[in-house]
Amino acid sequence: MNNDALMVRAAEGDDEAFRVLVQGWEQAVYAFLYRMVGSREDAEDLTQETFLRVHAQSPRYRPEGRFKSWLFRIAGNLARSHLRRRRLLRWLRFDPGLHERADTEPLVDEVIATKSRHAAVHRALAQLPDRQRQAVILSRFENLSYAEVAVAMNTTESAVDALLQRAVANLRRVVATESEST
Amino acid sequence: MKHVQDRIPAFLDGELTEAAATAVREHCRSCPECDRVLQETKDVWAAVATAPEPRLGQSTWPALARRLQARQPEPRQGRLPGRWPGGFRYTFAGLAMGAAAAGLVLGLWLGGSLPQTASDVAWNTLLEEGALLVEGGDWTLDQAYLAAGDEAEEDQP
Repeated sequence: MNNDALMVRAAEGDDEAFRVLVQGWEQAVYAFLYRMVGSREDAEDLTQETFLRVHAQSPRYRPEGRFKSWLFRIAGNLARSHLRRRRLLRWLRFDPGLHERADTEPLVDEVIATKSRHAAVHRALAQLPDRQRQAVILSRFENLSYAEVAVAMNTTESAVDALLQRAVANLRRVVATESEST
Repeated sequence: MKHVQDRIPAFLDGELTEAAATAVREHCRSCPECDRVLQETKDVWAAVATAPEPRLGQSTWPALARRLQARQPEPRQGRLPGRWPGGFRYTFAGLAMGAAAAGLVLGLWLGGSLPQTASDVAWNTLLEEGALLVEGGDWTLDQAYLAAGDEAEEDQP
């Protein structure tokens, strides 16, 4: 049974259909969210929240074969909202230590064991603006086409193209800088 | 050759038409600068691809099923404190936001337009986030809020 059919069944109150849907997508959603927010605990909470929203919105879902984009749109909105809230709370606490830490530091820590150039790329990825990082993750890790990324990010294909151009330029710049300094 | 370099990410992602892809490929063969950018971009993506896949420890389904079950009968106690005489239901969050809106209108009426301080911005954001976090919140409201955030968001580092 495909995603659209499962969503239709879930909207009719079929919990088993929703379970199949959740267990089919939870790993991908979690990986996306972890790469976005850089914290296991937050990514787990946001994964649950994503599927709660999917369930709540299932009666309004239109089965047009775009479930993946729709799912990542919900997850992406939650991730960016979470990041905005986290930055605001840090600002309100005025904790310099927190201000200095990168939002996705744990993600960087986890991959730092690889070659230094790779570590530099991952550090750069963690430092990208949220929307650039979101476009990179959806395109490079989740293998969404530009059209699918555009739906997931509520934007146009040309805007996705532009986001990725800027992301690549930023990543290349950081890698070049780090290569010069080593 | 900036326009060719701008096409390189889409070229590598297979998003160009065959004709456009051929044009980029052939240009890079004859232009050392664009070929260098092409190779660097390939290197960056290759390095990005080495990131380990974050693994979910255990399925979210059991916890999710419990939360869904808890939502089934009635919204949580305290979330819908009562009804207006006509049967119209209200929430504390709705009342708080209504009061805030009324206060803002009154303030503007009395004092004209007010400059926004950092604390105003923080408070307004908290109000918006509060609306966003209401369990089973209004999806339309979420979308409107997030769309507004998108427009304001700075993409440049």
